[in-house]
Amino acid sequence: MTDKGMITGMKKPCLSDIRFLKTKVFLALLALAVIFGAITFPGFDQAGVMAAEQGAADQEVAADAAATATYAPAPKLTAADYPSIAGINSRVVVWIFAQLHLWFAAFVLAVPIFVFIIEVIGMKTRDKRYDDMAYEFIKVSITGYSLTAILGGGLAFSLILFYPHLFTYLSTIFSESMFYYALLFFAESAVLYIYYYGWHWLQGGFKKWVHLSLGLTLNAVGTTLMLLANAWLTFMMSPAGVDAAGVFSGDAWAAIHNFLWNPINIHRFVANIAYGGSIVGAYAAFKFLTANTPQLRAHYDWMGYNANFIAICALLPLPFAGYYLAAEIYAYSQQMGITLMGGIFAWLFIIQAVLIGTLFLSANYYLWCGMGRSDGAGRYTKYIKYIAIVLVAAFLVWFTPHTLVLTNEELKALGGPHHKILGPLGIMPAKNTAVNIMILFTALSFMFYRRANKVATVSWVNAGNAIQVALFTAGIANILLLGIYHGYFTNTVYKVAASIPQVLTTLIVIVGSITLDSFIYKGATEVGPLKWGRIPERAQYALFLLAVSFTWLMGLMGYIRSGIRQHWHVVDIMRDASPDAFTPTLGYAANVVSVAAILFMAMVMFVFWIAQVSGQKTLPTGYWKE
Amino acid sequence: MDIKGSFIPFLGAMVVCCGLFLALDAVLMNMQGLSLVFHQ
Repeated sequence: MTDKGMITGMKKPCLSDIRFLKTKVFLALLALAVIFGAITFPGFDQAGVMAAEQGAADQEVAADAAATATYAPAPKLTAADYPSIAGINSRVVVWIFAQLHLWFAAFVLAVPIFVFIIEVIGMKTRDKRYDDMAYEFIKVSITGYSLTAILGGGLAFSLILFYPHLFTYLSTIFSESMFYYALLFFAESAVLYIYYYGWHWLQGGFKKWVHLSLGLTLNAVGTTLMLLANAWLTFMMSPAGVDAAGVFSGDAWAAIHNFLWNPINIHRFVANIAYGGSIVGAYAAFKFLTANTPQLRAHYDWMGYNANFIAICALLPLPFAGYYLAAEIYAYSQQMGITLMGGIFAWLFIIQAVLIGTLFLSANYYLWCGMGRSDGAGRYTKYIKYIAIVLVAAFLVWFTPHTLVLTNEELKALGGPHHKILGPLGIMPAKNTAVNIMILFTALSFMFYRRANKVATVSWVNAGNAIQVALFTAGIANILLLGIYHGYFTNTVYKVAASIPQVLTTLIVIVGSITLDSFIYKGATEVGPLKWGRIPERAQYALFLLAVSFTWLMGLMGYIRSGIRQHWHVVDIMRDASPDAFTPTLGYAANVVSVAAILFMAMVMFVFWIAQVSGQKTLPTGYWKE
Repeated sequence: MDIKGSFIPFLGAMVVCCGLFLALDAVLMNMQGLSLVFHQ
C-alpha cells in the first residue's frame, strides 16, 4: 500500500469523533482534578475527607511513634568527643574548607545561569558574539567546578574527622537528601560536560534547542543542589522536624523546609549571580590587560562590560534580599537577631557597609569610565561629579557606627558612647535611606551610560526628560520623608515598616524611568559606533576591586550567619562542647576570612591561567616525525 | 527656561508622583497585615 493508500485507507476523523475525544480528555482531566482536589482541598468531600483525615492521623501517630522509637536524641557531647589530630585547629580547618567550597560553589552555580541567558540572547538576536562570550564564561567555570568538588570533599572529610558526632546527627536527619545530593552531583557533572564539550557540536536549528535545554537542565540541577545544601545549614540555625531533645520526627521535608530555608535560598540565589558576574568581570579585566591586539582588547572590554552589568543587576536587589533574611532571623529568634546586628557582630556590619559601599563605588566608576567608548558621552559627564558626591555621602551615612568603641577619656570628652550629631546616622532608618539613594543613583549612572551614545528623535524629548527628573525627585523626597519622619518621629514598628515603601519607591522609580527612557529613545539615532576597547586600564582595576570586595564580603557575612549560632551546633538542640565553642574576636575572625580570601584569589588566578593556557599552542618544529 | 516644554511637565509630573508616593505610603503604613507582621 502506498502512503497515499494508507492515508486514504484510514478512517477520517469526523467532527463528532473530535468532540468525543475532547469530551474524553475533559472527563479525564476532571477526574484527575477531583482526585487531586480531594487530596489537596479538605473541603471538597467533608465526610470522606474527615474519615480519611482520621485514618491518616492515626497512621501519622503510629509513624511518629515508630520514628520516635527509631531516632535517638541529639547527642550531649563533651570535649573528649572531638578528636584532636596533629594539633590542628579543627574549627579553622572546617571554616576555611567550607568558605572556599562556598565561594567556588557560588561561582559555578551562578555562571551557568547567566551563560544560559546570554545564549538565549545570542539565539534570539543571531549575534554570534553572545554565543562566543557565553562559551568563554562557561570555559572559565569548568576548572572552578573541579575545585568546588575537591573543596567539598575536603569539607566533608574534615567534618567527619573533626566533628564526627555532629556529622552523624545531621546525616541521620538528612540521609535521604544527602543521598539525592550525591546523585544530583553526578547528574550535574554529566550535564555540565555535555553542555561544555558539546557546545560547538550542538549548533544551529534543533541542535541549538537541545543545547539550550541542557543549559536549563544544568541550572535546574545546580539550583536544586544549592537548595539541599542550604537546608542543612539552615537546619543548624532554625531546626525543624525535631523535638526539643533533637529527636527526629522522621519528616525529612519539615527538616528541609525550616524557618530560614527560603530567606537563605533567595539571598544566596541573587548573591551568587552578582558574585559570578564579578568573578568573570575580573577574568575579562585580566584578559583585557594582557591582550596584545585591539581586537582582543575590544572583545574583553565588551565581556567586562557585560559581566559588570550582570553583577550590578543582581547587586541592586541584593540589599533587599539581605534585609528580608535579617528580618526573618529576628522573627525566628529575637536573641539571634540582636546578636546579629546589635551584639558582637554589629561591628562587622560596619565593615560590611564599607565593602558594599566599595562595590557600589567601583561598579559606578567602571560605568563612568566606560562612557568614554561613546563620542556622545560628553553631554552627560558633567553630571558624574554630582552622582559621585551623593554616592560618597550615602556611603558615609551607611558606615557611620551607632556606638563607638572608645576609651574612658574619649567617652568623657564625648559625653557618652553616641556622637551628638552623627549618632542618629548610626541607626537603620538612616542606613535604609542611604542604601536606597545609592541604588537609585547607580541606576542613574547606568541610564546615563545607556543614553551616552544615543540622540532622541521624538518631539516630546524635553517633556520626557522633565517627567523623568520629577520621578527621581519625588522618589528621593519620599525615601527621605519615610526615613526621617518614620525613622525618628514615630515608634519602632513604623520605623521598621517604613523600609517597605522605601524599597517600593526605589523599584517604582527604576522601572518607571527605564520604561520612560525606552519610549523617549524609541527610534533614536546613534552618535556613532561604540568604540569597544577605548577604556582606561584603571577601569579594569575597578573590576578586580569588585571581585575582591565581593569575596571578602561573602566571607565575613558568612561568618556572621554561622557565628550567630554561638555555642550551638544546632541552635537550642545540640550544644557545641568543643574547645572552640566560643565566639572569636572580630580581628581573629577577619584574619581567618582574609587568609581564606587570599587562598581563594590564588586559586582563581590559577583558574584564569588555565583558561589562558588552554587557548595557547606551541609549534614544536622538528620535534615530531614528519 | 522652556516653560511649556519642560517646566510645566516637570511640575505636573511632580504633583502626580508625589501624590502617588504619598498614597502608597499611606496604604502600606496603615495595612493591617503589615502592622501584624511587624508587631510579631
